[in-house]
Amino acid sequence: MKTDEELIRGFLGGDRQAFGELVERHQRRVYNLSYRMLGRPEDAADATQDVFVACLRKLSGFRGTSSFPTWLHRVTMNVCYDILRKRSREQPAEDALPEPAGADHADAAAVGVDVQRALLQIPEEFRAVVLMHDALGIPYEEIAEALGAPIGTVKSRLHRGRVALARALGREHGGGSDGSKRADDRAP
Amino acid sequence: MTEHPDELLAAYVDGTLDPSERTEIDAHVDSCDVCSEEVALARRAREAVEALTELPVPAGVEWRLRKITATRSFWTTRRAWVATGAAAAAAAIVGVFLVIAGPQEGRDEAGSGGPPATDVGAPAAPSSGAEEATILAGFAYPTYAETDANYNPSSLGVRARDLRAEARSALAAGFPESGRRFYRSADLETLPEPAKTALSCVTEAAQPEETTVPFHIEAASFEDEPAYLAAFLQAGSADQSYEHIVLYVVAREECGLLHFSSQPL
Repeated sequence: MKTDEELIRGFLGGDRQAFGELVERHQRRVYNLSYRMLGRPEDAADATQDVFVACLRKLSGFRGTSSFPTWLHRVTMNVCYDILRKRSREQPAEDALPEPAGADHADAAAVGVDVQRALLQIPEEFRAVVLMHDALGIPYEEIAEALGAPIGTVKSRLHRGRVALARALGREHGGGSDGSKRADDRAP
Repeated sequence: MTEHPDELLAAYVDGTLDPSERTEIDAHVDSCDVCSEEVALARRAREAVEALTELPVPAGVEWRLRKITATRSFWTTRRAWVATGAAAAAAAIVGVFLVIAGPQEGRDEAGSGGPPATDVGAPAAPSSGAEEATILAGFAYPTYAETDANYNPSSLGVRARDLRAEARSALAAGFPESGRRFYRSADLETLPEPAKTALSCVTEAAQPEETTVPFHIEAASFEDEPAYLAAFLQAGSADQSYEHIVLYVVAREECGLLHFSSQPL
């Protein structure tokens, strides 16, 4: 199997098929990151398309100083921020949350919707880091590179983001946030 | 130890601290109610996000992505022309892609017009890059296609979504981004037939202003009646970027408006 760099070189050398392979390899991550950031399938579809169109245009300028996935994550986040800015201009006061989950919170699908709704309630810069680290498994250093932020900032946003998310989830489940200290809350 | 060490708490929850740091944080968390609450919350959040299922890419999105590469070859050539400044000579030649749909390889739906990778019926494909640039130079929009599709309002909605995706791609690739720029670079009088007749018929029905530019016209049918499907990009003013894509359906015989829809770009 060819590496990303080999596919990129191939594409720049005229092999259009190589770009298609690159897209297929990475489209799922880009779509999922976009969907979790934006909360709407239509916006995620637009974002995914915009990411790969931007990719196509900028690929000749890709120097390989960061890895391709890191570069792709950066492009994805920029595209998502653009869409979020545009959305807030068009609907300043509107609550952009998806439909409320059903009453049965034991249903796994409903729980996923609750988490998604809670994600949309936390600040975007926190959401970005929480998604990249906890949903996509990207290490701190790569997140820092993708976002152009110091690694300390990444970790700080990760912690604050998780705390904010848990509180938002608490609100989603109809109660206040659960602040009780549990006996098993120490590090292993 | 700073008061509430957010950076270290993230790593603490992730279990990535080295042993000495971890001992320090253990002690801190034990003595700090705020931090110990936050660690519990952070763990809950991390678990919840980790448990999110990875969604498959919807089929419509995959299809749009596959089309990106097909559009690229057209724009590469057009940009090469712009870079060489062959504007004066090229302005006399207008590139229009005429596509006759039918059983064709790689077509999964009728009437996907727009800049195709290969074209049938357009000026013969030249062998050298320079000649290709000349023929494709000049104005290439609106694109034109003839198909045997018979649309109804519902299949029109599907087509509208595809055209919207193509328009977004074209805009990202350099399509003139405002009405003023479009009409400055286009001399629609020089559009060759049958595109010219089609555009004139559509214009009669739709009466677009300088804020609205033609992107694609398809000669097809609408509810069994021969009709043009015309996609226009529309902005709030002649100098603003487009915000909507408007689809007009116009009867071919008497050039009357049959149907109209609009959606945000």
